[in-house]
Amino acid sequence: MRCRLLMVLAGALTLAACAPKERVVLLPGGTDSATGAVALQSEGTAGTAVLSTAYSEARIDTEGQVATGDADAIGLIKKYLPLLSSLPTSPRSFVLYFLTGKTILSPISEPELPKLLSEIDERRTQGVDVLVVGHTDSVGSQEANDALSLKRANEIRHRLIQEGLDADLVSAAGRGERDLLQETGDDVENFFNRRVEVIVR
Amino acid sequence: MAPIKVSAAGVLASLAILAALFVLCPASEAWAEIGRVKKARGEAFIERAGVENIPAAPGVKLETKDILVTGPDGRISVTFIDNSRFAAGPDSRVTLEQFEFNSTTHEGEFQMRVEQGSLAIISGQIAKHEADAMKVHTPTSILGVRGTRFIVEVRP
Repeated sequence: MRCRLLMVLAGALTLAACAPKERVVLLPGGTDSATGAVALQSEGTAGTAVLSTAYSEARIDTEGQVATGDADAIGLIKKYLPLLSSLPTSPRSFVLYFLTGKTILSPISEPELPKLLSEIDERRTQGVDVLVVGHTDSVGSQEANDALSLKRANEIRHRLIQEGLDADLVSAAGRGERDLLQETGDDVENFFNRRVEVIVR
Repeated sequence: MAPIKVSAAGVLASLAILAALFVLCPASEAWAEIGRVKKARGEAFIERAGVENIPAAPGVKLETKDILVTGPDGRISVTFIDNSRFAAGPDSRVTLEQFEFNSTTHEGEFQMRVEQGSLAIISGQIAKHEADAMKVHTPTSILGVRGTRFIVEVRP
């Protein structure tokens, strides 16, 4: 009750000092992603509140009443620094290229393998696992490319196992022609689209 | 009905093919794994139906319905197979209620429940593919994730 009164007195812009039951804060996006948004539905409040700017927050009381506003960015970072520091290292991708229509690595990609293996070694104490994702260019049907990309991914998976990686740590997936690196029309041969992405996480 | 002739060579050949397939075939479809613990500290474990509490340690594989629990000094950090990841702080209790992910199409559904504690979350391919396909449930609310980084805190 006192909390609610304080919130009313403090006004909409400055959120009350009493601690909320629940809190959601949107953080700025990373180097490869926009800030994004979080949509919030609470039992005590009609409709949906959307947090879409960095450091915007929602404070929710025990009855599900939501108050939104802007959090103090510096205070926030200080408070959650230990939590943010303990996030897992972000996944790192290595891209390997192939010869036309085959599952043989292009010569320019051979030097990438030791770098990849080195990254895997560095993450061994952090429960490293690897996802190999195959991609094709837009030549051929969607189904054929799904199969070809998976086959490429499995070839690299097999290669990594031969290089000493535990089979249990590596999985493979095919994305077909869904992630064209260079946008081409349908049925266009393109060297850079024919690739395997090895994600070390 | 005519008897089927089986030769030793035939059986060996079949076994060899099966063994080769086992190594070469995609393992991802057969796995129940939805993510792995990457970091852990202090009192931190996983509750899983039918087994004793699993101490959280780097490399531990997580499954749907797992409950991540941390004590006053505990932390657990996880990366999921859609590349989403989170860090759970002390005194947390988080259930991985639902996780489905198609690694070809990126369609999926990821629902977790935060009963108490604090979580820093970075969304991945499930959320990127479809808004609100990743959801976080708190005692009073449902958060639809539309990418990418946020913090959720629930006081007990």
